[in-house]
Amino acid sequence: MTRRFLNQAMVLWGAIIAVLWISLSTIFGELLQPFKDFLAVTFTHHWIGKSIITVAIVFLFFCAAWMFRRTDMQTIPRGLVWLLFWVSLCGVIAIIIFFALHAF
Amino acid sequence: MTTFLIAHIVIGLIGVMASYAVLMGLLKKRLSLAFLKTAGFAAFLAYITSWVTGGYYYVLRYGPVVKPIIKDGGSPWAHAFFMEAKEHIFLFMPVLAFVLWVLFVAAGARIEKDARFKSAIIALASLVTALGIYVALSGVVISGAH
Repeated sequence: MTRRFLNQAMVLWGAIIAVLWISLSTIFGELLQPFKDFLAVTFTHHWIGKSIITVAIVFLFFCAAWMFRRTDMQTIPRGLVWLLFWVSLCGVIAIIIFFALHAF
Repeated sequence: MTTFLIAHIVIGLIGVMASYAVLMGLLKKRLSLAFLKTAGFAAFLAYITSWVTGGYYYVLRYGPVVKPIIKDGGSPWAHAFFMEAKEHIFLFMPVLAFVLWVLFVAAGARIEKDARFKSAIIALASLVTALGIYVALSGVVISGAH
């Protein structure tokens, strides 16, 4: 029987989209009150909404990574790991600057 | 309710220690994949547990009771900046810890052989550890303001 390997690139794309979602929903949730209210009404609390959607994105991409397993041990593009790093770092910095401007 | 807060703090700190262990494990000349897989999974599991316990406390106790006290007190910025940033930056950590663990399990052999790939993984592990320290210190500030 041929061994099949998890599609690792798909897991990384799931994480990149999840991190983008966290960053954008945090900042636009503060700027667009109807969006924050929509999350709060739908999920009982805006933070629970952001959390559930984050888990859903990672879970769906992980399921896809499992469904689209490969018969070869693929070489994950190193750039995808760096992309995840930079998107995360920029997201964190954007959130810190945004709340610093709001608070002080 | 206090039990959930204590669980959130203790388990979260265990997660940060596990992330630091992952980073130190990656910086060694000879990698122990078994150690990286175990520490990586411990970090991921700790962040998930800390997420659930902290979220329960945040929604049911912090929001309705603690937040108004901090906002009306002498350090309203403790909520406006530290809590607001912390509660959202925390969401990055389980996601990144999950990716690291998956890469240790699925691409461990490549991390050992490919130095440039390993550098990217080290950068990601450093970020998770730094975020963990930032979130923990923010928690100290918020507790101090209450």
